Amino acid sequence: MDFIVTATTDVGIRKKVNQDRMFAGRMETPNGAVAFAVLCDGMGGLEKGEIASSVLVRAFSQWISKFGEELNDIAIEDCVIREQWTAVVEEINAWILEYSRENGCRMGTTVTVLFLTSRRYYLLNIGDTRAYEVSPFGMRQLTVDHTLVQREVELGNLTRKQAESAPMGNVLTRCVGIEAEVYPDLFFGKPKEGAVYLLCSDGFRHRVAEEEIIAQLFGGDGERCMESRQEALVELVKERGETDNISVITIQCRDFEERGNERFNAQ
Amino acid sequence: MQFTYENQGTNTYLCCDLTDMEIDTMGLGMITNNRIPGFVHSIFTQIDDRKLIKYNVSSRVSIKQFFSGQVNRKRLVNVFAGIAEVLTVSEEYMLDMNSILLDTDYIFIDVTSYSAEVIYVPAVMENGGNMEAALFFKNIMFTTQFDSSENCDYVAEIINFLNQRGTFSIWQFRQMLDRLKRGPEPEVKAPAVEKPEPVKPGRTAAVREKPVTSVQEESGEKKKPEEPDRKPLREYEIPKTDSGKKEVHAEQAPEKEISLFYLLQHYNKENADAYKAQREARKQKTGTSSEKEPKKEKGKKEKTQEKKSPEAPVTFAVPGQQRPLPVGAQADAASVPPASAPVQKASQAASAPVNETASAPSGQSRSDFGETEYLNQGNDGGTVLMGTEGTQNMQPYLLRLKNNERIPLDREVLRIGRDKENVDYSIPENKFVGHNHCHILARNGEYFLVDDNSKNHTYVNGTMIQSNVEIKLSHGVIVSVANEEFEFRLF
Repeated sequence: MDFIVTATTDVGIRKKVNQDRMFAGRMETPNGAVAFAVLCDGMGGLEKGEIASSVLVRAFSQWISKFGEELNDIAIEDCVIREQWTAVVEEINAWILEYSRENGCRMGTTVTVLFLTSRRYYLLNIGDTRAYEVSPFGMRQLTVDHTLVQREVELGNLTRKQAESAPMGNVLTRCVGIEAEVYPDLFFGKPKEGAVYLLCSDGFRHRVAEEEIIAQLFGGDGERCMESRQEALVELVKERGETDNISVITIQCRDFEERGNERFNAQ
Repeated sequence: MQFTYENQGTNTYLCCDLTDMEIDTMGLGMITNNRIPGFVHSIFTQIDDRKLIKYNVSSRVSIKQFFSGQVNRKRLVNVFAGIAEVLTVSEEYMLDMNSILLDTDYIFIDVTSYSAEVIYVPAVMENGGNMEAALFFKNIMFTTQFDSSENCDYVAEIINFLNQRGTFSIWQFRQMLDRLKRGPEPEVKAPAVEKPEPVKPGRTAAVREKPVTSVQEESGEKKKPEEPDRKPLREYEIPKTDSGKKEVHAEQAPEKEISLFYLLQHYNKENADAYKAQREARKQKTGTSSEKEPKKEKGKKEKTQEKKSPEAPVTFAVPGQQRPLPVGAQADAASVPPASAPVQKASQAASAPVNETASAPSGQSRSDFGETEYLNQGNDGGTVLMGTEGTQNMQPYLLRLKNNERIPLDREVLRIGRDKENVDYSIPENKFVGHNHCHILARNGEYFLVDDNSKNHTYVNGTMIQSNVEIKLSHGVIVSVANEEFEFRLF
C-alpha cells in the first residue's frame, strides 16, 4: 500500500489569523511506506491560540521524525503508540498551562493525529477536529467529538440533526492546554485500500455535505490532482460563508502497483 | 475461621464465620460500634447459631494485590506506616494486637490514599506477639519487587531494622516509617540531608531518635547525631541498647575504599552508606551527570536519549514542497516555519553525539545493591515489538470494542483500572472504572478474570462475576469492566 498526502489550509473570510496548524507527510521504511498527519485547531482569545496549536504540532512532528528513524518493522503494538502519544500530549498540555499561567492568558488546542501503515492505522483525538474514512460509498467518522453537543447526543437529549445546528456547537468538553488532566481518545483499525483518510478542522465541515465531499474526492476521471480537489472544497465552504479557519488533510491509500503505473504513465 | 466474599450492591464484604469460636465481646463492640481509622469497618450478624462478622472492603485491594508488580517507595512506606500505626494505637482502643490479622490477603488498601486497613477478628486468638509482626513485615520485604528506578535506600534501612537482634519494637518501627514517609526523597544527584524528626507534641510516649541518614553528604562531613531524649519509654518491649551504638558508627565514613564486591560480601548499613558516599565522590570527579542509565528512560523526554547520529538525515516528504525536508525542520503547509527553541533542540539532538552515555559506564559498576540491571536496553523508541504475522496471531489479547484497540495479554498478571500508576492497562477517562478494577491471570496457557472489589463490577457476557473469584475466559467472550467492553481473544 502506498500513500499520497495532501494538506490545505485557509484563514477563511473573516479571521485575521489562522490558528489551525498542521504537519503531514509520507515516509519510506524498509517494510513499505507509512504516512503521518497531525492537525491542531487552536483556540483562545487575544490571538494566542496559534501558540498552542503550533507547539503541539511541532511536538508531534518531532515525534514522527524520531520514530520514523528507528522504524524497522511496521508491526507496531497499539500500546506503544498510545504510551508515546499520550506522553507528548501530556507534556505539551503542561507546557501550555504553564505558559498561560505566566502570561495571564488562556489558550488551548484540539488535536487529531493519524499514523498509517499498510497494516494498521493509529489515531489520536482530543476536541472537535475530526478524522474520517472516505470511500465512494460513504464517509465514516473515525473520531468522537469532545463537544457538549456530542455529549447531549450520547445522553439522548439531542438528535444528530439537531446537533448539527445547535447554537453551542463548538463548546468543547476536552481540550489540550486548559486542564491539568488530559485524556486523549485513541482509535485503531485496518486501512482500506482505495479509501481516503481525511482530517479536518470544524471550519471545513459545517457548510459542506458529505456527498459533496465524496463527489469532489472521488469524482471525475482522475485527472485532477488531490490538491486542486481540496482547494475546490475549501473555496466552496468559503463561498458559503464559513467564518472560521478551514483546514483539511487527506491521505489516499493506493495500491502500490497502481502508483507504479502512474509514475510510468507520467513519463 | 472461614473467610468468604460477598457482593451486595456496590459493596463488597469479607465475611468471617465465628460460629465455633469464643468471641471477645469487648473487641467486637469496639469495632462494630466505632469507625476506627485503620480498621476495616465491620458488621456483626447472628442467625440462629451462626455468627458472622462482615468487613466492608469495597473499592479496596489486598496488600497482595497492591504489592504485585513493582512497588515504589511511596507505596511501601505509606502502607507499612499505616499498619505500624494501627498496631501501635490498637492498645488505645483496648483492642488486642494479636487479633489483628497480619496476612497480605487480608489487609486492605485504599489505592487513592494508600491508607491501610486491617481486619480485627474479635475472638480469643493464640498469642502471636510482636515477633509475628516483624516476620510479617520481613516477609513482605523479601517477596516484593521494588521499583529499581528509585533510590532504594529505604529498602535497606527497613530490612536492617527488621533484622536487628533483640526484640522487635513496633513503636520504633513506626517512628522510622513516619520519618521515611515525611523525609524528602533522597535524590542521587543532590543528596538531601534528612532531618531527624522532633518529638511530636501531645504524645505521651517519647521515643528515641534515630539519627541515621540514608544518604551521606558529599562533603563527607559527619552529621551530628541529635541528642535523644532519654525519657522512659512506653513500649511493649524493652528496646535493645545496641542499636544506639550502631547508629553512631554509621555516621563516620570509613577510611578504606569499598568495592562492590566487598560490599556484597560484607553487607551492612555502614558499608552500604560508605560505598554510596565513595561513589558520589567519584562521580563528582568524573562528571557523570546521572546514576541512572539514560537507556532506562523510555524515550519520552528527548534530552538524554541514546541514539546513533544519523549519517544521512532522514527525509520526510511534505506535500506542497518540491524537495523533502530534512528531519527537525518544521513544515507548515501554509505559513513560514517560525524559528524557535524546540526545533533547534530537535536538530541538535540529532547531531549531538552520545557523549553522556558513552562515557558513563567508565569502569564503574552500574549496579548498586538493591537495584537491578535492566533487561530491555534497546527499547528506546519502542518500535519493534512483534515479529512476523505469525507470532502476532498466536498472542492472546483483549480487543477493546470502543476503539478497536489490541491489548496483548503478555504477562502473568494484567491489571486493569483507572489509575495509570497501579495498573497495566489504564482507562483514565471513564469514571465508572475503579482505580484497581480487575485483573487477568495467565496460567498454563489459560486466562482467568478476577474482579478486585470494584464498585461497578465486572461482567462476562453480561453476567456479573463475584469479587476475588477466578473466572476462566474462553475465546470470544465479552468482558465488561464497568461499562467498558472488551472481547477476549486467544488468537
